[in-house]
Amino acid sequence: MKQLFQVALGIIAAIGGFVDIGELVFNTQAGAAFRYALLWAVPVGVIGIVVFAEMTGRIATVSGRPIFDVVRMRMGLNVALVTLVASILINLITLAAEVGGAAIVLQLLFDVNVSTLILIAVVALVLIVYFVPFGGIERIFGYLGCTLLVYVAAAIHLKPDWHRLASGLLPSWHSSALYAYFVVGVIGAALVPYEVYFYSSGAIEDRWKIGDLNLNRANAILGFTLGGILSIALIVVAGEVFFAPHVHPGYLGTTALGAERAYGEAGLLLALLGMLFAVGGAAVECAFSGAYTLTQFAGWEWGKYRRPRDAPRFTLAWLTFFALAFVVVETGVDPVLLTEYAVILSVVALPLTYLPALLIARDKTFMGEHANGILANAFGWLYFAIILVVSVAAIPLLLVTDGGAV
Amino acid sequence: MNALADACACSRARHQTLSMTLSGRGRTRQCVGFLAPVVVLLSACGQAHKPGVRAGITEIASIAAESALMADDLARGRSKTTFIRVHGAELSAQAQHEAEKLNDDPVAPGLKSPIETAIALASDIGGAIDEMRISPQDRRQAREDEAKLRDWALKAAKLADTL
Repeated sequence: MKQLFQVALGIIAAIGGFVDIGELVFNTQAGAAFRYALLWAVPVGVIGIVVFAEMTGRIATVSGRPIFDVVRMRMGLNVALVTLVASILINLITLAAEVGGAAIVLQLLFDVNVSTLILIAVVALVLIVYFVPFGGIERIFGYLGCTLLVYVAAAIHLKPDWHRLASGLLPSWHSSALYAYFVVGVIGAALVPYEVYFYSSGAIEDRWKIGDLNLNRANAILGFTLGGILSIALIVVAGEVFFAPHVHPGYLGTTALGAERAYGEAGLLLALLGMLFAVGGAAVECAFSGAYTLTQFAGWEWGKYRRPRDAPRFTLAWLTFFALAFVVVETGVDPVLLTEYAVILSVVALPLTYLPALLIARDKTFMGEHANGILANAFGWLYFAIILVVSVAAIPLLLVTDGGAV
Repeated sequence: MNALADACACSRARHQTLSMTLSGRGRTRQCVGFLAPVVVLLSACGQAHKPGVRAGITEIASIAAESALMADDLARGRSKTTFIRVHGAELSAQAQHEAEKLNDDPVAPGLKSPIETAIALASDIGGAIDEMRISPQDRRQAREDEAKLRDWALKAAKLADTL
């Protein structure tokens, strides 16, 4: 009963925690540009993150080592160093985008100067992370992020063409670079590496044991899948509201307008609240993810379950990430633009983390009876192929489409 | 635009090389014949081109369409003042930015008229959004703005389609 309750809590937190600024931006733009034609890319990305997260959670649970520790151990220092540099850079860009996103949402709610709100957002996040235990952080952001479910209700309320919607879930192809760019963006937004670093380190923070492997599987499959429904809802709402009048969403306010069109001010407020906690939670995950990778690579003490004085370099690392993100956002850079670059760069760096995870998860000498079975291996290699294609195509498509503008 | 810039740079390089190697009347004629299209190409350097202008005007149409949706919600009392002010400011600034971009780029003669029309539309759109931001409680004004914005969105979209 206790485990069932834990699964339910984990799933609720995963639903709210799945969506970040990448999904809010790319899914809204994808729906506005192609209505339902890109819906199929969501399940592709979601199955990928389920496969990836389940494997890394299992590795962490079985070995007691988080994914980055294992990458260094199995792939050597040089590969680990390249992965470290890439992941830190991407984490920082993503964190800056999330912090900027939080400030924008606060501005839409309170109409205060955005520079002040960036400072308020960063200070609030730092205080929450410093004083609230790990499980509490997951729940605060995960549960309150669930107000984004207003988009699921809005998607139904707006009476979509269900036949077309179902057709959109079947893979299709348009011969346009913009379509390919959004395929990469939607898949990439679901597959961002920081979620996996956070998930696998979180397994150790939560002290999962072998008996928790079912909890790991349930969290990964149900949590991310239900989170994926939110992504689908964002595309459907954007498709219903913005496709016909040819609106090109370039702001978080446009995403919020979709919920307002369905439910008026109440819809707008629920959407903004959900967006605030979704991007706030993602900001915490990014800062932690950066600190995890750095401290695990260096072999320093790490973990939120330790008091700051027991893991001072880990604490200093996530504080530094927040400080750097603050500086980046205060330069006035557009968080939406930053998000697009963060997602595309994440896609490029994805194989660096994914391949070691796959190789280790299938290694019977390391994982014993908990190594990948036939199905996990089949999905693992299939997704490695998909990730390779997507990572090779990402930068050329970003350039050809001028970041989705053409 | 990048392709055009590359072509211009390439033409410049070829121009310099040719100037150094050709001599004599025959070669001069040959050179003039060759340079004529190069000069035409060079004269096009830095001028706004159709896809760029079209993208700018399409963006203006998008801003008007989104603002019309916002105005409709405002007219029906289904929005929030802070949202209208902040998001409206973003859209208004974007309309102004698009107009400035169109205004600042040197214009090929054939594009002058649509660009002037687009700049006027962007100015009208920004003005209507600013009206909503100033008095978000005025529902009647919002309804009028919605109709105007819808009309301008259509006009801008049609203008983009002509390019």
